[in-house]
Amino acid sequence: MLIFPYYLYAEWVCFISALLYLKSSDSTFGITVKLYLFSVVALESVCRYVYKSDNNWLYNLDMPIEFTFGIWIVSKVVFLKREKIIMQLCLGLFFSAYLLSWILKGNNSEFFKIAGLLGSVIIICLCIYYYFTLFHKEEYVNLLTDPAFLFISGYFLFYTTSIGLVIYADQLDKLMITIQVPLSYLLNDIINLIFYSFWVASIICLYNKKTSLLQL
Amino acid sequence: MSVQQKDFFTAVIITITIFLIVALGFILLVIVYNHRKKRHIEEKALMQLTFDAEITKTQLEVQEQTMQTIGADLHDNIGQLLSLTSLTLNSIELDNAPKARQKIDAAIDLTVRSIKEMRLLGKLLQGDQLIVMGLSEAIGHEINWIEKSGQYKVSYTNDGEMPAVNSPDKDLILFRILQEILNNIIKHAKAKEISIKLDYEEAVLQLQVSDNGIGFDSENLPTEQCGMGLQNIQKRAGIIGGEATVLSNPDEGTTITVFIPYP
Repeated sequence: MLIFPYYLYAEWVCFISALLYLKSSDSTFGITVKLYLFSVVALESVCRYVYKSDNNWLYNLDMPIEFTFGIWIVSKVVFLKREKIIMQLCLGLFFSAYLLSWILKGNNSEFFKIAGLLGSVIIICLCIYYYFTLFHKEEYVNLLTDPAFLFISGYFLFYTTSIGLVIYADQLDKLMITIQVPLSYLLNDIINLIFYSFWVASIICLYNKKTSLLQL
Repeated sequence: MSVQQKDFFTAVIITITIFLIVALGFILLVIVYNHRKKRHIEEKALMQLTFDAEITKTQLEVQEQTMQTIGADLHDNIGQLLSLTSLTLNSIELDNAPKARQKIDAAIDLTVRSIKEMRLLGKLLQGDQLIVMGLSEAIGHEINWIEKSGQYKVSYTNDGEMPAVNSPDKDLILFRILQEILNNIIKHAKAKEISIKLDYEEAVLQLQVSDNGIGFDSENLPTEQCGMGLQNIQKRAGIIGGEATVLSNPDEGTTITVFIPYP
């Protein structure tokens, strides 16, 4: 049975895969992914072993990193025509929501739902746009071994399903499936396992193709 | 877990499952669409291969026919003319000057006819080089040659702007079709006027050749009379994805129209 903290293991596996397989990758992409995954494992490990409760402020602090990276990487992969403008617009929207959440909450102890939701929706929209570009692509790409597709699909599945988690975040934390394990942990496990499986597959495909996601 | 909590638990699980299914469904849709695209690309490539093979086959057939025509003409026509010339020259008796003069004139006439036939054969071999100039120019060249004979009044119209990208394979086959039609007119039609019309509209190239010759009953033409010529025209047009229609009545001339998708 999937029980906490499997998602933490999944993150570590993904981080180690990135360290091992993204050696020859494009420097900007490789370094950014490794740094981002390091920030993820560091945050989750700290939340798991140091700040076991009342750790929303840590997730709130990490949120700009998570969505800035997400919007940047997806915009780059989707290869938007007006990549910079759209990226700036998306980031502008997200940071507006982030500031609004901060102002509305008045403190940093509660999870910033609005910012989290809007960030997720933005990334979902970018992912859907990516799929539409695939529909219009003339040439055939084997999607099951295409790093960009696997990477974006991981994001798409993660943010689509985690919308529910964000909406019910408060209630889920209180709803225990065993004495010590809340329901949110179990769902997080499942979603993160799917998400990081896609990313590990993407990283391995990148390694096999000896290319960078930004060159595809 | 209270009943309320259980309901909430169920609601959350259902919501997240629905989101997951929708997302997975969307990804599956993309994969299925992509797979169909692959199949479509493969089918297109196969069709292109088949088409290329057919084009090559047709070109070889056309080449073979040209060679057969040349062989037959060399043997039956030019060979005979030259044999006759040789016989005529051999039979000249220098003692009988008036008769010798007649025979020399006949030999000269036979030689001139041989040269004409040689030119006709040479023209058949020229198609490949002519088509490099473009279809319209090649047709113009062909018309010039017919006009030089002084036996036909030829009109040529070229309506519609030809596409920027041409198809040399189709051009050559269409040009061979035109040569076949013109040869048929010269050999069988007893026509005085020939009208050639080339038209390009909505990605369809149309070649129409009309004559005012003796014509034939195109509706009730026996197979053996239909001749290889007309069959070849229709077959060649079909290979490049087009079709050829023949409209003719006794004493009302003949109109052959060829339509092909172009380029």
